[in-house]
Amino acid sequence: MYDIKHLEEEWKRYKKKKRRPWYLFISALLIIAGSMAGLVVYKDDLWQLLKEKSTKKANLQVQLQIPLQPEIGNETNQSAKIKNESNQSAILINEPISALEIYPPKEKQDTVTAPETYLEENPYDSAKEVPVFEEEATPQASIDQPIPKQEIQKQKIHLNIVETTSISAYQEVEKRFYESRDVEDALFLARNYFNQNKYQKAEYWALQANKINNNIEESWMIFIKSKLKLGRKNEAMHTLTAYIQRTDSKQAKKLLEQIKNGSL
Amino acid sequence: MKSRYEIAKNVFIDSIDIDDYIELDSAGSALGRLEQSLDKPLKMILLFGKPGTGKSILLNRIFTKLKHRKEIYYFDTPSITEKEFFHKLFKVLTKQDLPRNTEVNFSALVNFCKDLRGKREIVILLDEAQMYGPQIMEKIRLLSDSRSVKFVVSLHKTEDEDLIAKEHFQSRIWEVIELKNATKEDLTAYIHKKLLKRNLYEIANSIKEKEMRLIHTFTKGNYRECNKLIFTIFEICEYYDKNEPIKINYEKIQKRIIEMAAIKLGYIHV
Repeated sequence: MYDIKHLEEEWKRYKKKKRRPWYLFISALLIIAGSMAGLVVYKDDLWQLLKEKSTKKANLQVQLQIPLQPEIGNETNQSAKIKNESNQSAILINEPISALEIYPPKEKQDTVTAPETYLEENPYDSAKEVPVFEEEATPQASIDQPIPKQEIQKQKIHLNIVETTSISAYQEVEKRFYESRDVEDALFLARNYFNQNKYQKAEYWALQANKINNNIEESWMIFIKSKLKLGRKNEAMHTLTAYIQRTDSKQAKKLLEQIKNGSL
Repeated sequence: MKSRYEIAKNVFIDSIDIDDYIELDSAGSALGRLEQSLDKPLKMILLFGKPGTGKSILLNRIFTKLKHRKEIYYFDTPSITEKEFFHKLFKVLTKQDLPRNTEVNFSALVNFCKDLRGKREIVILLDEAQMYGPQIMEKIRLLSDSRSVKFVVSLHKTEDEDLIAKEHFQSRIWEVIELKNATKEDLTAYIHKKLLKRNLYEIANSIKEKEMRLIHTFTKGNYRECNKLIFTIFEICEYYDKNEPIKINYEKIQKRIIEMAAIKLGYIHV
């Protein structure tokens, strides 16, 4: 008679050996399934994380590659300097123009506060430009009236937005405009060139937007303000008056008043 | 009291006893072909196949079947020396013992065989012919040329043996009968018939189709290996039956027991 106990042990070892590839296969399958499930569940978070990383990297590259525009005045330089110094409070944006909200709704302004040092040292006060987008400005926020410190603080948050869109991005939009004739593209270029103090370009692109749709108030305002900045006050006044007669726009009237007061 | 598995295991003790012969379709066909071949005026018939495919039992069976009708001799054990072989052959052909201290004169034996042509028709069944040396095989060939002696040569099918067949017999062998390993169906029939022959119906029924497939896989359809495996399976069953009946399923031979037997016989290497 055989040593059955020994034979049983041998058989158990054999079964273990035989099942090992299955265990490995099932384990691998579970790991893969787990990973897939994890990926599905946290897909959005991961995507967001990757996006943030790539945005940060791109911003850093853009900041290193693009020197400050020569048109930007001392105020802007100083502002940029301060921004560099207080880098932690700067919000870097490399998004398309539509994302470059310089005048976001007031509710949003209330949620963020700029550093005190920045408020005091930054002379590049965007509050002066608030009337350009009058539909968002409250009557109390008029340029004529002194802006309360608290209000300035709220608005200055937007100064922290650094437009880092590269020159090639603008060129890309220009190219696209010539192909698509999209009024939004023209308006975007006008708005951003104006913000960059490139008034000739701003005027041109405001005109382009106006050619496509002459009912967009923003294009009229940029066009007029660009003329003013370029020192062609009479032309600006003439255009503005004609626009007011045509539309009776509140914002246009306010702009006219500002021009007359010399506050612009 | 004897365990039923003890009776069952003894059924599978390997033997070439004619009483243990199981009539299978494939074996029946080989037997029929061999019988037909012996009726033809052939000099030599080659019966070959892997070990355990049933060559010996087939020779034994044909011998049993024809011994009363034909002059047939069965050399089941190969002679180691030439002298021993020719002593045996001399006795068969002349029906006399060779006197002591004498040797067979081969030329005289060939002439004797030639003289027998038309008078006697002798059939000699040589089992395990691969054991004979080339010289003996050459002499067997010369004797078969006399046309009074027919040889049925049973060989293992290996490369070497194929070579022997080529070298010595290819031009003279007029009939080749190859025995192949059993199919699963043949093996199932073989096991069942063997058990039923001993009225072990319940045990035969306890080996299900799935287990038969496993047995066939392990034994590759070789009858001798099958006998060994089934014997071992029943021996393990016998142990459990006597000592640990809780571990045995009387309705069905468990896969575990078959695998244990396979481990024991080295079909499975742990």
